[in-house]
Amino acid sequence: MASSVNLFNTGKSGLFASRTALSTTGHNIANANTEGYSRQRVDQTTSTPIGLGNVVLGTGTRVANVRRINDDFLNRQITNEMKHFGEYQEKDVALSQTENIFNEIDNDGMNRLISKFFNEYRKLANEPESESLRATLRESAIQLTSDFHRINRSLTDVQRNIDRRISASVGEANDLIQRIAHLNQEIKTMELKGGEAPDLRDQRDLAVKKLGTTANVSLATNEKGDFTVSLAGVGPLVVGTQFNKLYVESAKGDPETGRPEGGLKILLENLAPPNVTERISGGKLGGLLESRDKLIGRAHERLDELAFSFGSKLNEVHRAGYSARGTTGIDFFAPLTTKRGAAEFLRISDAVAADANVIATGLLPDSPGDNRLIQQISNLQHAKTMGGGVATFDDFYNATVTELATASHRNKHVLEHQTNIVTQLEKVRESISGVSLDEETTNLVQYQHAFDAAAKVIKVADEILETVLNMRA
Amino acid sequence: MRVSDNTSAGSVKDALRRTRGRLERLQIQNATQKKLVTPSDDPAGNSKILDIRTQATVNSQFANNGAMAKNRLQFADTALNELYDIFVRAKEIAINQSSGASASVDSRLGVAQEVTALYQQLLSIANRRVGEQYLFGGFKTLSAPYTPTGEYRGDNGEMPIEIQKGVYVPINVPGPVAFQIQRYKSEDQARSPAAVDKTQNSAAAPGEPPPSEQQGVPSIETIDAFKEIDALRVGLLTNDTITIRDTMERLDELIKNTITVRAKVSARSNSIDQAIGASEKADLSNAELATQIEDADYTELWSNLAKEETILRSSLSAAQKLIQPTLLDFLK
Repeated sequence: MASSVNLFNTGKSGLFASRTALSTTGHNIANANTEGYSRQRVDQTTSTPIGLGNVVLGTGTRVANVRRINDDFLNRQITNEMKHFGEYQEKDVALSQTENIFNEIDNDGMNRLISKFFNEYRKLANEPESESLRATLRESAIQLTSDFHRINRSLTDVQRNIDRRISASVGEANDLIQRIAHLNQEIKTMELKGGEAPDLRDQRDLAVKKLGTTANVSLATNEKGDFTVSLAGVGPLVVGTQFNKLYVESAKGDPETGRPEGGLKILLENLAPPNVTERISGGKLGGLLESRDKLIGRAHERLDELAFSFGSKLNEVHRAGYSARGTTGIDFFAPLTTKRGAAEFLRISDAVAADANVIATGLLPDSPGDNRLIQQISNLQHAKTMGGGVATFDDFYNATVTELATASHRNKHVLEHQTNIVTQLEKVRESISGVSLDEETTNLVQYQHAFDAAAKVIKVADEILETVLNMRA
Repeated sequence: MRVSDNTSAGSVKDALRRTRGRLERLQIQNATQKKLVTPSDDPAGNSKILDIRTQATVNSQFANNGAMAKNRLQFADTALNELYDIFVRAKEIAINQSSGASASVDSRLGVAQEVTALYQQLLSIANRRVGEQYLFGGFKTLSAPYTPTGEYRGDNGEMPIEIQKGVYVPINVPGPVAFQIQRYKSEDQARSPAAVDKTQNSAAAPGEPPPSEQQGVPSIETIDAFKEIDALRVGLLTNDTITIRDTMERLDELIKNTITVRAKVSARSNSIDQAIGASEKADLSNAELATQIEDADYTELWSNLAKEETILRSSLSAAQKLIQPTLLDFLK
């Protein structure tokens, strides 16, 4: 026969289980809007029954575990997609800025200034004797060179800005790396007694997802059960409680990779050689590096090439001509020695700056009306002098703009697409792990009823005991 | 499918983000009246626009050049017209004074005064200036091309002006073209017209002596306006009817030459007009293309704006219905 004490215990187990469930429900409601939170459920099971003769009697309930409702594969998929998302996002920012430097839909840009320069020269063909026309020609040349300087400076600014973002992203990544290692430690400690630490795991998943946005990472659990995070194709960032931090270093310019002078390199601690810049792909860092070195670097390089060819070709033709002053062999632009930095250093020569009358128009000395050099200069605008004889100055410049615009256009597309993918995956995750207040409210009512009923059981047990005790009296 | 609160909130946010994004784009298009706002909106279109702009800018300069050139040619034409009058008058005098019937020693002496005046007129035309520039000096535009004795100090330079991509028209007539004729001596008369033309063309290199009269090559004579008028004057003064008669035929050549040169000058004006016309046509069709590429289409823009606004309203009201009620509202 079951003792009434046993009934007390059964009731107590019910009370305890309901209270646990209620507090878990409260926890869920409280965290309904916590980023990365997975709803939690109480796993209840019957406690060990006791045998009484030919009867096996239940002894109530037991809380086996509080676990989070979560799909690990989905989390990994999200982390994996986040690297593209981060990459495209950073590229979008960089490319939008860059294409705006070249945007001349509403204002005068280099395209128009090149034509303006040639036009001013053509104007001189009517009155090759005129000093005032020479002065306006010189003015348009100065305008053109300052536009080269403007674009050059703006591109450098964008690159510097990217470096600052790289530096910030590396800092952010290091925080996350440290946090993951720390959480690994805590989770290990918490779970020594069995069961899982749902909140800590949520936090770690969130940190990994964020790290995955910054760089392409791969996740694994090693033979000792340590959770590891590696920079894909490079090396481990976190192994259990150990971690390696990233750091940045200012480096020399590299024409091969397109890195600008003073651009940052990314390095990893405890790696030989530590430089990982070229091995980083994807994530914010990958997007930033690609924007800085490949996309903007290339535009920069092409701008230099244009400035160099423009200056040199014009000088070459100009030197052969004679001016109103009778001078010949004069450079229009200060001579350039290398392509690198040409856009920065292109300016009119000292001779032209000092006296506009040394600007040549003719092919013969002592012939103030000779305007035949202008013919050759004018032809330069339409001559295929760039890219090994396939493009004019205009073509070359337009192609540079188009390349950037196309990259930006394409990136906007994939960013939109990737945003959809990520949104969709997050939606799936929320539908699995997210808190539904309706559901929790229902649970609240349900568990409250269970609690009430369990209390009733104890009350009944109490009454039974009292009845028994009062029998003697 | 299980729907959590974050799922529905996320859906609402996502829908609003999209609609707002599209509306924002339409607003910018509406404000700028352009559908091409940044190069990445249409990279190929942007490239085409840049191309069209270059062409338009260059064409406008060609048009300006053409207008200036026409003005200059007009001056040359006027000068040539006056030249023609001088030669015609001189020839009249020569015809009148060469026969004994209509003229006498006295009349010749009297008319010689007029011929002297004609010579001065000729010299003033030859040294005429437009602004700073001497019209007939070739490239030597800043110094008087003819000395009082009719010696040429200029060169044979023709100033080319670009009126269309790669198309050049000379805007000046060097003195020797207007005031001199080179022709084969009368025994080769049959071949001369074409040959004269040729020598004129090849005389483009200034400073080079006219083709010399070498052995085998038919000898060339030069008719010079100053010399002829002067010869006429001397003939009249000396009462030398043979010289006077001789000038008649040469003055005739000069008249013919003036007509030819004027025809050439007006042909240049015509080709400038044609080139400008062609550029204007190209500009027009380019402008049409540019409009298609970069300008916003009102009807489309407004209907899209209206559409997006409706979508925004309906997603907002859907959001209101979706977010508000929870079980808690019914448990009170």
